[in-house]
Amino acid sequence: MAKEPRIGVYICHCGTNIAGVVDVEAVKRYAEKLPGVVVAKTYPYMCSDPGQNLIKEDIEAGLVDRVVVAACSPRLHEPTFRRVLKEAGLNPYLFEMANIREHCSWVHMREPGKATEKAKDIVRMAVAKARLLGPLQPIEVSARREVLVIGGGIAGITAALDLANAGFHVYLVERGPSIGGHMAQLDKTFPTMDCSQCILTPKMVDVARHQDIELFTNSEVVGLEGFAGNFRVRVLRKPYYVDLDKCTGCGLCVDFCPIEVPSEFDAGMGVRKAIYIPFPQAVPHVAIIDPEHCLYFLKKKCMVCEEVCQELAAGAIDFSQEPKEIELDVGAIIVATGYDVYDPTQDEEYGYGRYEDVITALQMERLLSASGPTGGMVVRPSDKAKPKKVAYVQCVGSRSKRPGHAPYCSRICCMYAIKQAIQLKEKYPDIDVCIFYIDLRTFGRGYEEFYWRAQEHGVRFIRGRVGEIWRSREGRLVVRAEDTLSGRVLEEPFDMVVLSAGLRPAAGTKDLAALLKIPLGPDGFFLEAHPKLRPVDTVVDGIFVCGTATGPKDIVDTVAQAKAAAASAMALLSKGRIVVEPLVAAVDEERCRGCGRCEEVCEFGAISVVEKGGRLVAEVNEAVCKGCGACSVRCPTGAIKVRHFKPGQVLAVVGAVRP
Amino acid sequence: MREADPKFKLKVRQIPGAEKLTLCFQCGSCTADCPVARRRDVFRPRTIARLAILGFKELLLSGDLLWLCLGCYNCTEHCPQGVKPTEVIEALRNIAVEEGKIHPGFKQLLEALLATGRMYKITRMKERTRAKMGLPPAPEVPLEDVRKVLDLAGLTAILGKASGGGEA
Repeated sequence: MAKEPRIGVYICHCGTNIAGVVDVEAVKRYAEKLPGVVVAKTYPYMCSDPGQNLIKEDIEAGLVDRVVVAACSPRLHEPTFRRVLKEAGLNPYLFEMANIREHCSWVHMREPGKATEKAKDIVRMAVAKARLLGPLQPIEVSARREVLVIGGGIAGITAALDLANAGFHVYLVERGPSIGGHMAQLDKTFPTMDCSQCILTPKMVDVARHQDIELFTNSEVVGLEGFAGNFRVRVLRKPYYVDLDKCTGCGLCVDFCPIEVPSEFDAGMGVRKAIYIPFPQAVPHVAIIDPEHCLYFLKKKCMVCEEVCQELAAGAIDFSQEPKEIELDVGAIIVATGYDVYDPTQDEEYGYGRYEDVITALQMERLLSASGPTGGMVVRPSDKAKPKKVAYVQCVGSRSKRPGHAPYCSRICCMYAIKQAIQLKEKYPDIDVCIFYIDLRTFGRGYEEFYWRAQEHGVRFIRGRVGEIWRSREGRLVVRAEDTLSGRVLEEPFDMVVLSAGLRPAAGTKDLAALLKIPLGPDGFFLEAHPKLRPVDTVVDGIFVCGTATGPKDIVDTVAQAKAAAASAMALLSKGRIVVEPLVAAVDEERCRGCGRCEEVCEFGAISVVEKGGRLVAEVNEAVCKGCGACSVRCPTGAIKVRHFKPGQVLAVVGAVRP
Repeated sequence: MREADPKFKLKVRQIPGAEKLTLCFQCGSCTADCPVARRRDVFRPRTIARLAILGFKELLLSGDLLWLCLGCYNCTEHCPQGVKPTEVIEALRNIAVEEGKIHPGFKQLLEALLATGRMYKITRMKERTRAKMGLPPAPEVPLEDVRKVLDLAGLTAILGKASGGGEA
């Protein structure tokens, strides 16, 4: 014979968030009279230490054995109060939260009378459910100590190294032929003017040499199943057409290859061959054949690379290589897929793609770089002459509601433009550099000081968005803008114009999101679980995200996030087991007829019909089940139910909607 | 220093086309793309939006500032914030007209319309050109009908209270 439950109702003021609208004392007096309630109390902040103690003391005194907290959303403090119950020796699932803030006081701010009545309704419904709650035990599953990192830019490299140094085995998957990402293309980094390669290359080599990191370059993730702690990932390894173990990266094949195409690494400012080593510091430092341009793949002839490699080098060329799929078992996944630079061709008023001397800032970066196609000499693409006047156009493709543009600020463009302006001034003191901007955002540590430095160098800052760029008869680029601070319309000729193009989600982001079942924001970047409190978590347990995959970021923030994602993955996996909420579907095997309808409707593949004792029954993988309840609705015999949300419990809540 | 009315922007924003006025972040794209601004230093679509947001109503509505716009829509096409400066200016003109502040040049055109049914006089030279091109003489204007339409449209009343906005 079950004892009559003794429910305690604890009503939070949440400062004035709730009490400023809802008459909490009236709710308390109402709750006291509800069936099963033995005590009701109010407190300014129930989540505070004294607030928690209020509940704890009542439990420990044996006064209550069920707890209802009427406060904020369970998303915020359900874990907090469950812990209070546990600490007081009560099963943490004998708890129900009544959301009288998000669902009541915040949305009915101007109707305090009705809000108070609604708060009473919400509490009454929670109490009705609390009467029927039963104890539940958390589920534990084992967790693997391998982690998959997707993306080999500075974010992926940092996360991989942190994890591997902590003793976790890391699989680093990179789509391109080398790790390094965009940072490898940069000459210097703001605001310290560190040489980008000098600080990146050692980390790339560390990745290659680390015994706990396995590198898969020229590879893509193509499949995922499983759950936090036990994912199975399928990775497609695309062919290099070069034997990675034999190739020494001598570059002889490259010298002999007759085909030249624009270099991706040099952002089109230089050329590469059809067989090429992506850049001098590439990891792995091997040659790769681009089958879209190689004469062998196009016309079945040439093969000069194979010939020279066979005769004079390692004999590493292998035209017969095929794509290969492999499977990896991992406990957690870190998404670090980065960004793409906005292509300003659509902005016809700027002439990008029409005028050779209008380039993007990434292209300027390759011109500034000592390892770039000009050896660090900045020259006009059209005639290779040294420019005397350079203009920067800010916010290209960003901060704009025009079609094809991004409404957000790309965050890094102000700083990289200032950085390049300083570099140009330091290389060529007589050069004139002019930055056309809408607002300058120099928010980081040492950034405003960096802006001073540019001003001291005599860089001109003109507050006005550029309207149009055209080529004069003399072949110079005329920029028209309003200097909004003086109201003057300027039409000024320049030798080169650099477009500070914004950041976009990397190509393939959408497909990867669909594959990993993690959502994207309206901006097309991966969505974090909470913008402030869970910035590197996703809504899927065990999948983390960092760097520019979640939106524009500079290297400083990217590295911080990568380290955070690595630490979060470690926190999840370090104990070797993961505790999963028991609020999942459970099967009453006596009633189950094994019809398999639940298996059909399960979105997560958590249910399978198996043979047990000579008959078919449904079985739930508790680590995969999200407790959505679709199976429960579909079950013809009522055999499958979601714990904590059993039909009886849900109906009690619905029944309590009207007093 | 004239008084600024912070509520003025709300009134402007209610006029269809001008809803996004307060999104203006003063980038100056409109001015940079404006064919009038290149020739007249007083005319800056950006400044018009600024004055409207701040509520310098008198400064905007008197004088010929609003009436310089050609309505080419260059600014509207290029505005990154979707402010539609052409339509903001149009909205401000409507407010000016409501208050009886019509630019003398425009007033003259309207008066001609009321008097003759045409905004421009058909000169003898134009008639000769028409004849040369084999066109019939310009048709007579049914003046009474035109006046009736203009009257119903409220133009007569507007002209009645018009004081003339600024100096031509």
